[in-house]
Amino acid sequence: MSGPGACRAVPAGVTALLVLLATACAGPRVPSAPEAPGPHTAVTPRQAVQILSTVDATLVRAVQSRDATRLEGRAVGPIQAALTAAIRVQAALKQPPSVPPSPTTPRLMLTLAGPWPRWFAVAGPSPAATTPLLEVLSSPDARSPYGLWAQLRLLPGAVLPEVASATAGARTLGPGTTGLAASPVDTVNHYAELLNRGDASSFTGQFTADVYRTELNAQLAADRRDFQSRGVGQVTAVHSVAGDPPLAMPTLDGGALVIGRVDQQYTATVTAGKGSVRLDQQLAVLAGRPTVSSRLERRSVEVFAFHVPRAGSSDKITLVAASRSDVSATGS
Amino acid sequence: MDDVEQVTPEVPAPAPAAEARIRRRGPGRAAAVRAWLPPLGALLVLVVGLAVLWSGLAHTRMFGGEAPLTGRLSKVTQPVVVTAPGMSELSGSRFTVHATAPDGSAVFIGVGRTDDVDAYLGDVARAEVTALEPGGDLRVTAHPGDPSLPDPAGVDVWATAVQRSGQATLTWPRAPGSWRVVVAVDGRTAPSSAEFTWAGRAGSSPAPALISIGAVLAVLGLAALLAIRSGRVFARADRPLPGRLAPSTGPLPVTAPVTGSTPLPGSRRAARAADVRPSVDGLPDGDEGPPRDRPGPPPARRWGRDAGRREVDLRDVDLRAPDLRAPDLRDVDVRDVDVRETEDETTVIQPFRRRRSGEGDR
Repeated sequence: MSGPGACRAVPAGVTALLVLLATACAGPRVPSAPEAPGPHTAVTPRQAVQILSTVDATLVRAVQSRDATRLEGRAVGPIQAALTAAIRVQAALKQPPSVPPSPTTPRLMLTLAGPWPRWFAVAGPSPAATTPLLEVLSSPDARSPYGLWAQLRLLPGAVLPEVASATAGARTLGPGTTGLAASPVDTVNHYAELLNRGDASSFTGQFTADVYRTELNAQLAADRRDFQSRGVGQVTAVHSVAGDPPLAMPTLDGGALVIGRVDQQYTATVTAGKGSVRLDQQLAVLAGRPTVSSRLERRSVEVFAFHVPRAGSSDKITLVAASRSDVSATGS
Repeated sequence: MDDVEQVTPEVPAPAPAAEARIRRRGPGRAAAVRAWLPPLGALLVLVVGLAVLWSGLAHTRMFGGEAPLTGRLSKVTQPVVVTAPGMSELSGSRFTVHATAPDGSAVFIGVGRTDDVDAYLGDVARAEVTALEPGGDLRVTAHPGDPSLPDPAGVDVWATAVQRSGQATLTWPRAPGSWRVVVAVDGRTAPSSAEFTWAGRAGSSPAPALISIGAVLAVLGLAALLAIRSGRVFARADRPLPGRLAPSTGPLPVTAPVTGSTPLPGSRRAARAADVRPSVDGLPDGDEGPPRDRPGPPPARRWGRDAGRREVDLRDVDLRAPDLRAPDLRDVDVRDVDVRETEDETTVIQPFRRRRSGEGDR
């Protein structure tokens, strides 16, 4: 192509290119690939607050209407069993509805997004409780909402360990996580054995003394003394770890906050011909009778929160919060 | 002209290979290729400049770049309408969804992370919005599957959601991450319609930079082309003009001043020769101003970016790490941070205040 020809072709080429560009700009708008999501909390702080509000409203509705079916998945696991029993007792005794207290200025303890089931916790004081509360909320799958799983009370003098901020989120730890003084599942198992065997347990030195264990053992010992002194029978209590795997998140000191459920089976056997045992009002409602002359079986759910130090630390495992509720009873 | 002498630098002869290539192709063809490179380069610069300029203009409101874009979906047969990841960030800074439900039923609009929404939707039949066509239609891909799914208002995978009777509107600001928007009624009934609007100015528009770069390149390319065409810069190899440098492999005569040249009037050399320093602001060149022991003139007033800048003492700066504790969200009025404004109605996410025990329903 000669020079003058090429010069004449310049405007034509430019025009063609502009037309091509204009055509390209007029095409459909297709989204570009979104950025890869980095680690993020399963729920945002705002979502968590909204969930807490919804849960509270649902609990208030169910308790005030004395209808446990209205919990609608917003109470799950141990707290669902406890609330169902409480609603039954309050209705039978014509007591005013009593809704569990909730933290008024909570500290969110959010976990990072991962596979379901998911959970997060919230802690804070409440005017209706003498010590701060620790609430655990859980969602079993994407099609089920978060529900209150447990509500624990901090033990007097206990300090809830620091965890990751709500905006950063904490990763969840598996039941067998190593690097801790005891794995989460071992922590719960060892504490259950400590409750069953007392000072005879080989794990006595692994845990610091706590008020919950002291009071529980004192109550059990008093019941046994009463039964033995009157010669009406015997009392046994067995703590067994429930099927729910423990929940755990790392703490800022290298340890972990471990939350696990234990079921207590309390059995009172009355010797034949030795009379009967009168039950207190709440237990009588659950058992369906005011006295038992043969056997009483009472089932309670206990939820514990431990601060487990990192492996190699000289600190012991500390029980920082606990809850216990009667959920059923049978008598004969 | 006594102090000017003629020098003839030694120009190296072409390498044997190049010489052979020239001989094979002919000296005229090689020269033509060399002569065409400059105009082609200038043309390339011009075209690239125009393309960049066009791209920048396309981002401006004048050319519809930041004007609101609207896509409508008038016929829905699946129980769920869901946007493809990235659709909410197609343009602008705000993505607004307006949906209607048949018979005044409650219509739900929710925004959730892509993984969470996918886990919630499972295998349900859905209409997935994948693109916005030029005419305002939405390109939809229908996915067959289960005919229903649990009520979307009853799950917690939504970063934000709204549910209203008959029609609802939700505005979602651009947020980092991958998100999907879901429009549904009750998980079984298909929504009547859905309208998506992208509006607002993006956080950082590339238009100014693109327009500037494109304009500069276009002007440079055009100027080079005009200069070439007028023949003032490059000569045609096949039409050497008188007085212009023609390709040559022989010695090139060069006339260069060696010594004793007369400085141009007004030049630094002329000034040095006259030992007269040019003055700046009334001070002789090299004068550093009044001596330190003499009171000098008042400091000049500073203009520009440094004017009025406060001297910062590091002792006034708190260099400690920020407090990373979780904020007390119960004390935050969410209305201050999350007001969704729409064109036809304003959806305000209600403040979240936990009820204390014993409080009744609101």
